[in-house]
Amino acid sequence: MRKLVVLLTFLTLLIAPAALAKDDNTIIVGLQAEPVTLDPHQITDFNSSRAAKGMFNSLVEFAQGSTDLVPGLATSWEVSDDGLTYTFHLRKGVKFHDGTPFNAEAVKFSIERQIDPNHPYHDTGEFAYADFTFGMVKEVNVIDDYTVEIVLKEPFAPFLANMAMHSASIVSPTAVKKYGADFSKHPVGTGPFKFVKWTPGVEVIQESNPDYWDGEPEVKRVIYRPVLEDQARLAELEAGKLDFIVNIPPDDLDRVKKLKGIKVQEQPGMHVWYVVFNTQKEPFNDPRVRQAVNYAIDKKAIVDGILQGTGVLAENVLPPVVWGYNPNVKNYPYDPVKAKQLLAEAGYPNGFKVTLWVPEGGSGMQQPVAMCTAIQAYLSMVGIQAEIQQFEWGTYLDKVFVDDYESMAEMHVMSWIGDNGDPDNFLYILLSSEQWPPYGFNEAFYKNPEVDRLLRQARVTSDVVKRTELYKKAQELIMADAPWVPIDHETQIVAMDERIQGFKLHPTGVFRFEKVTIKK
Amino acid sequence: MFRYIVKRLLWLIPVLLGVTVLVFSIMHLSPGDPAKILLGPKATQEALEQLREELGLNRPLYIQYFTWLGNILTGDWGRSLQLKREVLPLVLDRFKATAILTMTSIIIATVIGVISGTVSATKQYSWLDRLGMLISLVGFCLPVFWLGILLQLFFGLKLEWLPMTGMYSPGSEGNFTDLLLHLILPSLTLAAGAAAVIARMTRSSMLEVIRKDYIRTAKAKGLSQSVIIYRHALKNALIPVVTVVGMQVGFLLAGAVLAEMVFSWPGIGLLMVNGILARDFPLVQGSILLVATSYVFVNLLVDLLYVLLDPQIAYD
Amino acid sequence: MEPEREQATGKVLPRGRAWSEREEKTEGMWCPVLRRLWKDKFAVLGAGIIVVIIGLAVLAPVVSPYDPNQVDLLNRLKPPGTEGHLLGTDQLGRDVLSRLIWGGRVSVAVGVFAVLIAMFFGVFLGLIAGYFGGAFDIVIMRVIDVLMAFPYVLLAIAIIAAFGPGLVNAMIAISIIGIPYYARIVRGSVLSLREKEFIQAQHALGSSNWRIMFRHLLPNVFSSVIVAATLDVGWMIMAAAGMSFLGLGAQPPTAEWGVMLSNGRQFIRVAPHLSLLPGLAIFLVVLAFNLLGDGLRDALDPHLKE
Repeated sequence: MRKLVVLLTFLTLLIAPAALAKDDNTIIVGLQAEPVTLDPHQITDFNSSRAAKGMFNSLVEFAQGSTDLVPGLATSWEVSDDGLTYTFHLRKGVKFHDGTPFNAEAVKFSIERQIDPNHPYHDTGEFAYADFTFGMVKEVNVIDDYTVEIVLKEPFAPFLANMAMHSASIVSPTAVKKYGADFSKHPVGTGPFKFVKWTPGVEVIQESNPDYWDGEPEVKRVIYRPVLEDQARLAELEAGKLDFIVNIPPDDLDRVKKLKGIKVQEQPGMHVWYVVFNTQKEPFNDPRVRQAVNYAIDKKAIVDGILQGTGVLAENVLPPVVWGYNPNVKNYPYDPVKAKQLLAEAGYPNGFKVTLWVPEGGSGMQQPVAMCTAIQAYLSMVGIQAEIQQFEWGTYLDKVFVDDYESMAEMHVMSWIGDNGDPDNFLYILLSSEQWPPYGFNEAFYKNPEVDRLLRQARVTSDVVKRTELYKKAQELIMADAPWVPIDHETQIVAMDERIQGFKLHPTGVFRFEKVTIKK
Repeated sequence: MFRYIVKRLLWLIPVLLGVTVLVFSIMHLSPGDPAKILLGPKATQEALEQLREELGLNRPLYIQYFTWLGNILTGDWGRSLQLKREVLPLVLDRFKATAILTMTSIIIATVIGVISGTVSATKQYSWLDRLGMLISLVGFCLPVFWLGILLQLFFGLKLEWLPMTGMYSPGSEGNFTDLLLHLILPSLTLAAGAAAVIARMTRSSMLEVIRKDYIRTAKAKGLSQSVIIYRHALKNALIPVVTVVGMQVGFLLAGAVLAEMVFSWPGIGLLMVNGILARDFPLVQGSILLVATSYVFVNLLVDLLYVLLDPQIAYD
Repeated sequence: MEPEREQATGKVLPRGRAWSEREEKTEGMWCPVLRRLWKDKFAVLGAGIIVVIIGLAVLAPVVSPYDPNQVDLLNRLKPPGTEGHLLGTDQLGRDVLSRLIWGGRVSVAVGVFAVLIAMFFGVFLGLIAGYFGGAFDIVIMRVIDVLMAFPYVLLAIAIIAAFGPGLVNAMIAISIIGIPYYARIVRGSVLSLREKEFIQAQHALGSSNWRIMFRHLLPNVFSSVIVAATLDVGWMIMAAAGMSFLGLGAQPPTAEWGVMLSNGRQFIRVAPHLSLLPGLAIFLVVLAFNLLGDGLRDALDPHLKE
């Protein structure tokens, strides 16, 4: 058989053009799936955000490895005392990859394109995050070429953090005008890497930007390739065909860590995986039933067993890496006796039947089917007969994000990955009653007026200390009401060629290669 | 013979109509409003009305069917809900991968089947014959998806000789050698069942021919065993084999979905199954229509080929 | 050469079952049949495997060492031979042996029911088509020809696409694709029996059509149907497992062989037994029904065996 390989290799030399010799300054990244779009304003999934990040900047950037805010395309900024007006001073001498100069007009264009339905280029895409990021923006004013002023309708504390998100990326107006809806296939930004080519199903190629305002990256080329199967992706890393991969199967992690020439990097993620109750419907409109389910599930066994330590047990709805986390809040311990007792008190001494919706996969969902099968088994031990219904991810999201009166959901599972590092991005968006679907992401239809008040107040308060207090209080109330069963916070894990130096995982899950070097 | 061919071509009409009716009814049998199914749950009321108007969903079913058929014939196969792309180019592109897999499998199956069937027939009741038939029985009963996993385990994981999944290694798209390496396991997997059928068929057909008069005559004339087998017997015995091979092309075309699943082969079967799970009806309809139609035409070709080889059949 | 000729036009074989269905004309006489069957070692082997598997399936609640859905997350992916778990545990720490036994229950039930459904409709349609002939025959056989113009996997997938994935729908789908197979066999036999004296005599005696069909024709085509059905159970089990493997049949956490195989694939590196064992079970059942079916056919019609 070795002979066959040799023979075939020989044949290759004869018929096929020799495979590209691997360049020492290239990093090939194995993604989970094909990016959907490379237009940063349209991104809703990880594969797209990972492939697009390197090509764009925003006015404010996250620091390497954290959600601290540092100057990006804006060198400095001021906030008015009433918290309504943000003035950004722009970096001078920056050019987009197509040569268009970066200026205040480009900033105005990038924001208004998304939020103004009458903007001439509004129809060049679907801007799913526009409302979330810029919903509170009243107007964008160009003061001069290098000064831009954003006025809000009401004070909004996380606004600066929003300005570092994908949807706040500044795109080249010339390119959008030129390509229209095809801009998503011909992205032009100011980032450290320039777009070269996108072959659907095969790869996205980018090369370093020699004129990058923060210095040309040492890595000359980055190639993103979709490899759908976890096992195949891992095998290609081992074979040296990929340099950097995501989603290592938990049961392979130990083995991969011992592999020569490969290193594994991990970091607690800004993520939470949880079971959602429909709190507006029987039986889950009774907090005792929700608490009973919380007691009935052995969350630690799920984390240690199924996830093999690729996540940490959730104590709270908020991950500990986000500021405002309340360390005094503890998750419900595993206590089936207590669960049964609560069920009896609530009038269900013999349990009940319920459907549990489960997606087959999806970003951040870890091992949904296995985890839910375990949850189902734990529930059956306290008399709750859960029937699992599986859906493909897209179908699943469509079924979950509907009005409360239309919702057929009883129990389902979901995960959330933070966008901007602000607690508002977890607590308000997932648990305020102002965020019931289809407008927001509170699929539990959870409503507690006191929680609503705390979260709203935290939104309009700019003082971080005061905000922290408000959030800590909210977490206590939420955990007591138990609209969810928080299970775990997924650890971000990547495996890479050990010659890659200086890579830092980012809490938002994107990859940044501009400061990375490759040891020869 | 001409009459037979005309009859055979005319038979295409009801068959293709049947195929389209079946594919058409997939969406109408399934619970739910077709317009909602087609546009997805986020559709606006106006869009729904417009589509109902366009498809004539308020009109009688047979009119809807002919409208749909008209669209299909003019190349408008709809848009995939999930992948947000035109269905026709999408299914054609994926069909290529399935065709490569199926064709390779049928070649392998034919070579293995004919050789082992011939050997079995010429050595009837020998241990070689019995072994051959036993292996073919096993090959016949092996679930495709299990055989695939066995091969993956052995050649992919244990020996590390061959890639376990996919059509190309990342970065080698279009590279012929890479394709060949990736093709070996899935095509062997898919070929096993067909090879067993072809071997059985070749064996029984050979036995039939060997007993015929002209072979006895040839033997009496003192021609050597191998000349008889390869010059005379095989040629005649292969006529029914051709049909079986042709039918297997069709079965493999559809059965490939299991091999595609095991080996993540980017074929049309995988697309179809994902489409069903995502309730992506235009995609499912398009892929079923394409596979069924190509199956019908493969059958037609086989039947015509058969008449060419054995004109006798046309008169039966 | 007659059966081959039929195959040659591509009309007999719905699913590549190339050698198993010849037309039988034996009438009754089960004792000598069983005696002949007993001499066929392969058939006995097949029958033995079937008896064991059906026995385990029926007795699952008694013989299965654990509840097949009992999760033990701290004892996951244990290899076969682990203490307390003869065949190891799966990704959730469930006992593989128990799941195989309960899975057999599902698979065998689905196979048998699918065959019964297909047989019921197929035999009925075949009887009507063959006995009445004329317009009945033409309409029924044309529809069947069109059904057969679809490859069977594709037809099953198309039916599931319409009704949605699930074990029951998958079973219905595979039984529908089996109908033409029985209809053809029965129609063929009825056509040849219709003109026989004992049937003509019944006409003369004034028996009703239905009486002749069900009291006189049916028993005479029964042996060919039994052979076909025996061979078919294996196929139905394999087809149902295949649909489940694709995610279109049984849904987790149902212990079903196809689902177990498909779930086990993720752990092929760390726990290959999870994909090997359920596949082996499917293979054995299919093989057993084929051995028994082949043996039955030869026993029913000893002339065929040369």
